[in-house]
Amino acid sequence: MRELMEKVKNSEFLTLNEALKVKVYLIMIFLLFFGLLTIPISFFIEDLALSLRIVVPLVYVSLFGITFIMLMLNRSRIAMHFSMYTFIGLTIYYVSGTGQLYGYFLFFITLTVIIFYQDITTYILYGGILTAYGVYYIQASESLLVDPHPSLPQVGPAIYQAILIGFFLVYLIQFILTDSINENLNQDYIRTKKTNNRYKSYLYRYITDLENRDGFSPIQDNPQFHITIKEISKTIIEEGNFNIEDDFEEVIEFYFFLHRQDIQKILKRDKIAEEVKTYAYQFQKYLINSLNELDSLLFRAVCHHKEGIKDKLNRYEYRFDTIFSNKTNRILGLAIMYKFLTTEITQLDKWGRVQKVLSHQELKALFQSKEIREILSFEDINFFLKNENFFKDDL
Amino acid sequence: MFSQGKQQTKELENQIYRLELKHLRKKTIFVSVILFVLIFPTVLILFLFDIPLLDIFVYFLVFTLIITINSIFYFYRNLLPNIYLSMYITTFGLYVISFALILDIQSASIFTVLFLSYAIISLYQEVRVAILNNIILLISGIVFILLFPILFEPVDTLTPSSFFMVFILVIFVALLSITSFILIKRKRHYYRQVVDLKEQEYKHTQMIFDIQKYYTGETLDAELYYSHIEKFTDYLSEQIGIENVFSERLQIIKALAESSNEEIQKSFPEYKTGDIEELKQLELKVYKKIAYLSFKAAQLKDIQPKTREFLFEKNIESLNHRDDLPLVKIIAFSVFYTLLRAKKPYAKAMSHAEVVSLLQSRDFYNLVDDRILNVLIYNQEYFEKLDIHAITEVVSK
Repeated sequence: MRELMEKVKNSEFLTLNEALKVKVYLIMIFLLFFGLLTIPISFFIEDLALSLRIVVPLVYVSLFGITFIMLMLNRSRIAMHFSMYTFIGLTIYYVSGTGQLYGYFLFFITLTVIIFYQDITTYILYGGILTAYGVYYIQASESLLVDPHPSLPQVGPAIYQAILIGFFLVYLIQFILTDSINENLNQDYIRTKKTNNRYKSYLYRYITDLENRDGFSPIQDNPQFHITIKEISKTIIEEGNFNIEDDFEEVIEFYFFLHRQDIQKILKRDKIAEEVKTYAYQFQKYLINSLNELDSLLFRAVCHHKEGIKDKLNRYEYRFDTIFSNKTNRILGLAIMYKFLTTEITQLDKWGRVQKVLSHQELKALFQSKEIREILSFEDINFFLKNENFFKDDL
Repeated sequence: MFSQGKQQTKELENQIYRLELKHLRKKTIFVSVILFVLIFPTVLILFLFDIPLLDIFVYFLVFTLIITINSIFYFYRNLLPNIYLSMYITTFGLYVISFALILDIQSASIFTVLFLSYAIISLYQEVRVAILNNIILLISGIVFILLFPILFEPVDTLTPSSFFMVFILVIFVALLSITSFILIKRKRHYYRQVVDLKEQEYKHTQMIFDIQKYYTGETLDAELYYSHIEKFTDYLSEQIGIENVFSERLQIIKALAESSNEEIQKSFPEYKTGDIEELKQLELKVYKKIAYLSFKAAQLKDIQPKTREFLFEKNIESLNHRDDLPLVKIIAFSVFYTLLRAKKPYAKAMSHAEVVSLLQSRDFYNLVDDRILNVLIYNQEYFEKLDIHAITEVVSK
């Protein structure tokens, strides 16, 4: 239970599947309390046939059991569906009884359970069916629902129905809104991630050129480096009480050996043991002589101590029409940008070296591309195109 | 736990706050539209229940007031940046309408209007509003069920039905509270990931500029840029036939590298702090944002996402991949640790304490196995004495 609460507390770090599993567990706890508390009590206040008194707990236990088994088998999605079926079953059972009002409330509870899973398709499907059933049920049993306004017999059920539909629709809007915001954030994330990857390849390229220019020998070939890695690994294994069965020194030698090999070929070879392939596959993201996760983490570490950009105003805003409040500043920004891009090295050349400066024509093509709208507005681009020759000749 | 610089963390938090504000404004519009739609059925119900016209008018007035306040906060964002106030007003306003409806109509059917109000307010997905929403619903729901049994007549007070309804209400609020809690935490996590990545983007650019300077020995000549821009704007003004409105701003931009806002305002009193802050974005010597921005512009080709890929769910670069064998994690970490401790052409060597502090920072949260991190923390002496020096002269990565 404590572990479950801990997971809820740190739910943002869980993957979608892990988060779903946690949600099913929580629903099962609610379901357990709810079922154990309400089913026996309902037997006292409802006049039910013996068959129903046997069937209802049996169905409840079966559905609960299936949900639990699915969860154990790591089939969280199926478990989610069964937990919803259990709640839907309970709702139908209660609204069929005589306690109509709290039966009606159960429609909201079951909708809440469906909302809890935050899956738009499931919500539209199950939530839609349940709401439709709720509307039909209120229509069919309006005389049973408690309402103190006998003079207006048609209004009470209409209010029940309207609020149930309203509740369903408001949460549907919430789903759509959340989805749209997450999608926008995701797009922003992907674009930034792609530019970051581009920056990393620039950095890697520069570092490699520096190594070549200054005559550094590759670190992975340095015996002292191998010894240091062995020493540190040994300390971590011993002090961290890791239970390692393989000979760690041999695996370290294999790690350095991989720097001279084509890992894809190793992975494709049939004669190589699976264990070796596993090590090769897992090590490839940590090799020193290629741009991979290890480099990204090293860059991240170096960046950590950098101050970043100094302005506090609109730190992560790029669009000219957001960061500048007037046309004069935007023209100045456009002029500096033009000068920068036609003067400074910003591209890889055809040999993969960081050496290329954009020409006027290339810059014009860039300014006319869809991607540049992330920074420049139509108005900025039109200004540039209209005064293209001034930019070209006078900057 | 996190040892990131206070100033940096504050700026990241500010940016997350701005991102949240942007989305909250969008949600405010949705809530206002829903409230607008709700006016008609509300007035109709009140009319059917023979509520006096003056009372109906008051309901109409409260709805209109909430929508107007929301609109004012939305459209005058510079004047009224605190959208939270508008959300609180909406929350209280909507619940006041709901309570009045329940007391005026006194019917079991209208009781569930509380659930509808709850759903509308939960659209905001903001932590303080969510707490307020849960508390109001729980307390008001229980009060109505237990103290106003007339609403649920002919069911008497404290029958199993009343208990059932309170029980159902508690489950309802508990489930939706957890939903809100998870959603809000996840949303903030997404905001943080986006902002962290943008921060990294700037720092990577900074690193590229530094390495470029180290590699080529050349640095960006700000003065030369300004003189080119001056000539260009002189010519442009002349050709377009307008007064040169650029030169004064260029003077300020040049002065920004060495002068404070106050000093500049003494020389150019017509420029307010906001104007000067804006011009900082064009300064090339100290602030350099326009240079970073231009570099980014040059990289924009083909970065538009082509597939519907949900990247948030994919773990970023890490030394703590779930599927990796423990020995792989240990060796990868040992390599990473040694490279951090070694001197590099583009960065200084880190001390053991600096590495530990880095690994405990938000930037590296969860990226290293806790057991490995603990070995580092509890064996400080060993790691401090480790002879990294022997390889520092050859390390270049």
